[in-house]
Amino acid sequence: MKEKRFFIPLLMSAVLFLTWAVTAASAGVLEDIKSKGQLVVSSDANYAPQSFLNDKGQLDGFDIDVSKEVAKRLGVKVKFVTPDWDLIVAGKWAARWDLSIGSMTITGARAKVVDFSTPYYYTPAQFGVHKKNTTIKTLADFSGKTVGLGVGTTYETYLDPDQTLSIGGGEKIAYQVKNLKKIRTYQTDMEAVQDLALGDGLRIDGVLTSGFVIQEAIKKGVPIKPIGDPVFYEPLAAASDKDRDGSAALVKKVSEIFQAMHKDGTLTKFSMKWYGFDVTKKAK
Amino acid sequence: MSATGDAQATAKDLEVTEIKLKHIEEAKKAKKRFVLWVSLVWVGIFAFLLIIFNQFNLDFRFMLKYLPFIMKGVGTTIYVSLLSIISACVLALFGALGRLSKNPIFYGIATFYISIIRGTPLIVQIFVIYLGLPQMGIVISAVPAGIIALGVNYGAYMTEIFRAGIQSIGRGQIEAAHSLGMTYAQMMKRVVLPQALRLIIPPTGNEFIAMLKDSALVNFLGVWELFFRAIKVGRQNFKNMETLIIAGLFYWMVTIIFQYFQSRLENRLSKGTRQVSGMTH
Amino acid sequence: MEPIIIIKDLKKYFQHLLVLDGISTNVMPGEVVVIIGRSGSGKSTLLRCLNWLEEPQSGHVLVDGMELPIGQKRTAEVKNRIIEIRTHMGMVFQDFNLFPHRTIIDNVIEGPVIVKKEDRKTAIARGEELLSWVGMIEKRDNYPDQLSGGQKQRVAIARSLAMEPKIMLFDEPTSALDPELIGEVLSVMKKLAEEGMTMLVVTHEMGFAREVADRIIFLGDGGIIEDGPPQKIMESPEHEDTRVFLDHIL
Repeated sequence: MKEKRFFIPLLMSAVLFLTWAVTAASAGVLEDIKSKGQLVVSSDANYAPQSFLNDKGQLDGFDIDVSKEVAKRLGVKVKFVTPDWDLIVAGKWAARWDLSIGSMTITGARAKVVDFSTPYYYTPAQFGVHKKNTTIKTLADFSGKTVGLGVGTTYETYLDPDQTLSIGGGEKIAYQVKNLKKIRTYQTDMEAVQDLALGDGLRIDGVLTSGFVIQEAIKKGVPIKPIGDPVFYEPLAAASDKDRDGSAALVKKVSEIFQAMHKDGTLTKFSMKWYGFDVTKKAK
Repeated sequence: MSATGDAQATAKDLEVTEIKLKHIEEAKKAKKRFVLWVSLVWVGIFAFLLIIFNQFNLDFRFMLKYLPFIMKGVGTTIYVSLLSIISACVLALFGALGRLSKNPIFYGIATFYISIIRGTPLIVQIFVIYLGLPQMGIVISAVPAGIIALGVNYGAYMTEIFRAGIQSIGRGQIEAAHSLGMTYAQMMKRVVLPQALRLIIPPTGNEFIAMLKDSALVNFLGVWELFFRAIKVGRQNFKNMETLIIAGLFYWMVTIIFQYFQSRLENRLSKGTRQVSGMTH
Repeated sequence: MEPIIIIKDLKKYFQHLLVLDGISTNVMPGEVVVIIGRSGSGKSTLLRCLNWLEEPQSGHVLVDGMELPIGQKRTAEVKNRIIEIRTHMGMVFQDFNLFPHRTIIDNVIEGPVIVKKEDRKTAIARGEELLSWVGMIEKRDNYPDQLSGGQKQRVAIARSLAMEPKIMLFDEPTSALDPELIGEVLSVMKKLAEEGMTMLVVTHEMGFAREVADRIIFLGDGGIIEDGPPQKIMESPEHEDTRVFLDHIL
């Protein structure tokens, strides 16, 4: 009897803790969103200008504007969560959030765990070197050099000789860079860029990242310059957890909204606001 | 003392008092000198660090701009750490009781728990709890998942602290409780734990101070604590170094503050709270 | 009158060391029994077995009609019975074992309030009475560290009495005391005996035994060597061992 008195408060607090913690999942994700009146979007707030923390410490950027617009057109409010990128691309979100609008490149590997919408914009994959570098002028000059990039990115897949990058509709991409000395992976692209900025060839000779990242870095005074034309363009899309009931219906709905936003110029408007040019059309 | 020998005695007393005062005076001076030197060493090292940091070409205006934003993470860091240390204490208590139990089931559970948690990295536990619990139908968001992981992890390490505290209570106390007719739970609650707490609290404070820094690991789950805020702002602006230094300074400051409280608590406990004032020197 | 304690063929081993080798004796209500013997003769063990602080291997013991669960499984009933038996017997230890984190009055009311679920006010009222009775009421709000050994032992006696036991066990209650403090404890014990308490006392204080005890039991080699009134044991012991022991300590 005495032990019980000891345990009951503990037990109760444990139960309370779990009920506070548990968010129940039910029928279809679209129905859940509608009934809660809220779309929970995951965003990887590491990159300006697509998703970052503004001067007030709030989430801001191209992805954020797109997310808000999607929610608006669904007739619900939007809420953002910021889990690690690895957790987003790995799928199995356990209904913690409904949708990723986080500039995710459509790849064959990712399509096994998430459902993709149609693309909402395109990003160029771009090599860059330190501003002071004079030896690397073309992509061929990377032979024998060390290149840095973010772990788990399409750029890693692209440069990894053991993997073939298949993006979008599955078109193969020509491999233009040969005989790299080494690939160095970083937690995100941003660490690679900062390591390059330490000095030409100090740790790495170049980076492969999004053209937008290089553009933003130059804008913020990082000593870096682009090399060659973009090696490929990636279609970026919203994604939904394949394990979630009604996932396909959700991305279908989001695709419809994207198409409407392409058509009525909303996406272009956001693009001009954040990038200064139109990134929403597939480049040739 | 009799009245007759007073004059002589007083003179002698005065002499003794003078010598004593001199000693006290000298000891005070020595202590002052020591404190002064320690302060000088601190200031010196700090200045040296500043010079080194200056070589990093830090953007101080940028740092100042984002300082308030990063500072807001201090609250979350403390909040997560506090809830985690509380869960850890509960688990450590049961872990310790299990470790001391003669029941093979309780003993087995406790030793397995300690072994698996001490044998795996905290970051692995954080991810396993965050990703694994939903497989069992328990979907918890980032903050509670982080708290559970930190609590479970620290609970295993702190089991030893609790065990040592409980074992420090003499057999006689337990027998006295038993002879009054107390049950095991009553004995633990009324006799053993209140006394063991004096030994448990100081190292638990230490664990808490360590926890403040380990809580940075829950940033992976998207908890907006100090490290998360620092690294995100840093990346976006290609200035990780600046923001991480800010976060580091905040961690350091919070640690200093809690260390101060901890040492005061420790002093109070070591003196014995129930001595009549004046009995201690 | 029925005996309040019946001990039959009680055996206790530590590992392979036989400490009690079939003890049998009865204690009547109100009787004061002093147990003497060399160190290691098992006199403390005998008291501790009665209180279930040690678990004997075999034998039968009835305390106030309740049987000690010797060799029985630890069921809920058995656990409750042990507690019941313990609340019928007060135990006073050589090292006092007061709870250092509680005040004197809190030490005294701990048993009634926690074990017997007595109302705090009632418990305090009786606790104060008991503290007055052992002459410790002035130290009511002090902590044990602030007391002398003799004072601590008097509080420990009050703490045991607060449970309103029918039997009091004293395990060398004065052995840890400075000689000048022994008297105050013994006089409290004497007062208690005069009030008719059943007492089992392990002690070397032969003056107390002669004056207060109804019976002296001399333990040796795990058994009762001699058992009788103080007069007889102390003046004309039948057994050679008893004589040698008494010569030694007197």
